[in-house]
Amino acid sequence: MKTRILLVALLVLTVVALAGCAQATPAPAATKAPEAAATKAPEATATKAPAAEEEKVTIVYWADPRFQYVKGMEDQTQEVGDYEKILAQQFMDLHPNVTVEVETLQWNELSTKVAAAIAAGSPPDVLKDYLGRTSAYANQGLLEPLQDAIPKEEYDDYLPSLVDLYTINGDLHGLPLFFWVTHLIGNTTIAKDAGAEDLLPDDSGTWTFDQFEQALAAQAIPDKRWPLAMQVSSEQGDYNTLGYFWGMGAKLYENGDYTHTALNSPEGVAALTKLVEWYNKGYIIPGVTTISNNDLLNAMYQGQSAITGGGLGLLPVVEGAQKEGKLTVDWDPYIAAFPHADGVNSAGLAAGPTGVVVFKQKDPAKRKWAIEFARFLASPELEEQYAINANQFPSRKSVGNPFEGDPKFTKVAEWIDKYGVEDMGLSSPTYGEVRVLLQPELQAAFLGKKTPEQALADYEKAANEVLSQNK
Amino acid sequence: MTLAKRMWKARWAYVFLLPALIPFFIFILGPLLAGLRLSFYEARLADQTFIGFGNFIKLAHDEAFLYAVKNTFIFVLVVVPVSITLSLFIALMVYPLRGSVQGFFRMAFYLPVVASGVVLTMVWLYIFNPTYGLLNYLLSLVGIGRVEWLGRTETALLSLAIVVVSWTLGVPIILFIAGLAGIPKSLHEAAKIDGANSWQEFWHVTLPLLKPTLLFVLVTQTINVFQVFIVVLLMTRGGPANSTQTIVYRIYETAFTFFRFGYASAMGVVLLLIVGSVAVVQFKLLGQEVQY
Repeated sequence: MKTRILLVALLVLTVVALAGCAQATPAPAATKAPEAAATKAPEATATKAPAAEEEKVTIVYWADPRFQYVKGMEDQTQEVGDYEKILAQQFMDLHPNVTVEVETLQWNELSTKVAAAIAAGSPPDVLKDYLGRTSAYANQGLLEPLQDAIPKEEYDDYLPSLVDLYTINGDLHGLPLFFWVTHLIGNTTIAKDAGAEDLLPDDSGTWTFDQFEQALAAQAIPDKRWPLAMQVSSEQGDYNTLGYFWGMGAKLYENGDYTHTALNSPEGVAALTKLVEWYNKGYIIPGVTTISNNDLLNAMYQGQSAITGGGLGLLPVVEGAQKEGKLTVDWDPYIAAFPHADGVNSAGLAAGPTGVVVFKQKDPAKRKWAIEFARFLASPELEEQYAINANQFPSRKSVGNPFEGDPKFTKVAEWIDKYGVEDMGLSSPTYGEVRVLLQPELQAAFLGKKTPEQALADYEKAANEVLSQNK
Repeated sequence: MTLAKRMWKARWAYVFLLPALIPFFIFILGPLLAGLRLSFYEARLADQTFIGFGNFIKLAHDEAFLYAVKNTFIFVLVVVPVSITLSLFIALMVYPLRGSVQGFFRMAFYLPVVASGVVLTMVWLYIFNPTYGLLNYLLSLVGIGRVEWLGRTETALLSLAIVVVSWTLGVPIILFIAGLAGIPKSLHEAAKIDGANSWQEFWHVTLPLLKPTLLFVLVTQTINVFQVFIVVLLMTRGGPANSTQTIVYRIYETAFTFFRFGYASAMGVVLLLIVGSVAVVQFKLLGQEVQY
């Protein structure tokens, strides 16, 4: 059962790990030069069996298109997919009997191409993707269980809550690699320009709805600046909207019960009412119902908006845009939790892990090497590289804190420790199906076609119809 | 002569047709039949269970799907007549021009057909952007305030219709110009001698003789517009509040977000029946042979 308590536990342990309490770690991972990891294959899975005696095996590996210009390997990783090929080559060097065929998919292909391949009976052997998608494959019994295929010390090295999220129907369906946590990111320059610097959160990074609203009001300029850049145009990034619901005390699910949604509550209605009110006052960017994430970023780049939702991974994106001359305002970022109602102990944080999974294999030799490759990809040395290059949190305790001394990471870790993260239902069998039902109702509320009460009631009805399959 | 004998006699024709037929069987007919079969199954990623007409019965009560059907019909009823009228008008304007000038306009209007739909959509996203878009900027010059073209239920479908019309003009224009060139000049001259004015000449000579082209354009445009997808995916994702949900977008979502391949296939079969029925009606209404 995936309860909020367990999720909180995850992140408590994360904090413990990030604080450097991972005693088992022989040396702080962050002290290693990236080059070292780049040129040397991880040893975790380097069970160097005599290659000549092993059966020849070909593994098909599909990966998300995340990494480019990997630190310390910039010249070798100029194209998306280069990094994955380098890792595959390292594995093949260790195990000459294994051939790894790498394919890096586009983001939209991660659902379409993988689903079509599964339906056609030819899925990849190994896949790196987001938990929200891999859980669907696990729920349909398509993945190899991994809990018995990895050594106990390795199993115990993963953050327990991540293990819990990745355990579906009693099986560990994937090895978590890294995870993002979403919150708010703002530009101090605009707050200063609006004379609203004093209205930003204090060192705790948290604020109430009233304080947040005052900050929005101070930074808004009619028909010129809409301080809050958010979208309800698609389910992508829905956690950045749900943050306000969670901050108000609403829950998407109660206590890991995925048979019905809990969002239609007085707290949920209050949150949606507040969002609609802000939209009507001009605090939220126009076109919230159809605007794309790129447009949200552009609004931040042009100073039309001052605050948006996202993880720390967004910071290098904006810095990259700044280098390309896309920003017309100075960029001085701060991070903040989602606003919370009085007495609500939530920072509105969501966590989204990416992991590596192995599709079910008929050939025992292939199964063995596919799992071995997955373990290789999840080795602490590589997890450290992933975390650094994705600006996300590592999922293994032994990685330690790759961002030691970075106040923003420290602050997020503190929030996680204090407030925990919210349950988005990532492991639910109907996650993808239920997820898309919320946005049309939010859109209807924003456009005044439905009252917040009516929109959430309609969402509840539609969602529960789908969720009833989980009983 | 029996069918077998006739086929044997034409055996070399079949051999020469093979390069076209093989891909047709593999990539069109095969998937079509597989989809038809799948529509009778509860098909998820891992398993398939035969449920007879279960998917179709469910579809009849699926509000979201019925809403998508309604939207698609509205879309077709707006886009197809506008697109055909506009392309015929442009063809009539371009046809009398001399060779090189006509060639320039033909190329200009055909360009969107060969351009990537994704690129065109990106351009239109910029045009419709509520805060920095070109359209709102132009309207602001004449004192009209900001319009959220894609963000309002009242304007979103219309905005998508404009986009689709803009890139579906190329082929009909080329076809209409070719059709106009095929009308014997003597008929126009005879009409003029009989005292017909330009409108009468168009109505009684040009339009009836363009009927075969018109029918072809009508049927192909209708089929294309019924299948509108990429513009919905990239510009509105069916929103706001489902106001731009179309049948094909719903099929995509059902298959690749919900992983309900059987149900999505049933939607595809319904779409096939709808488009087929509409095409039959169009043939009945416009399909009479033209006598020169």
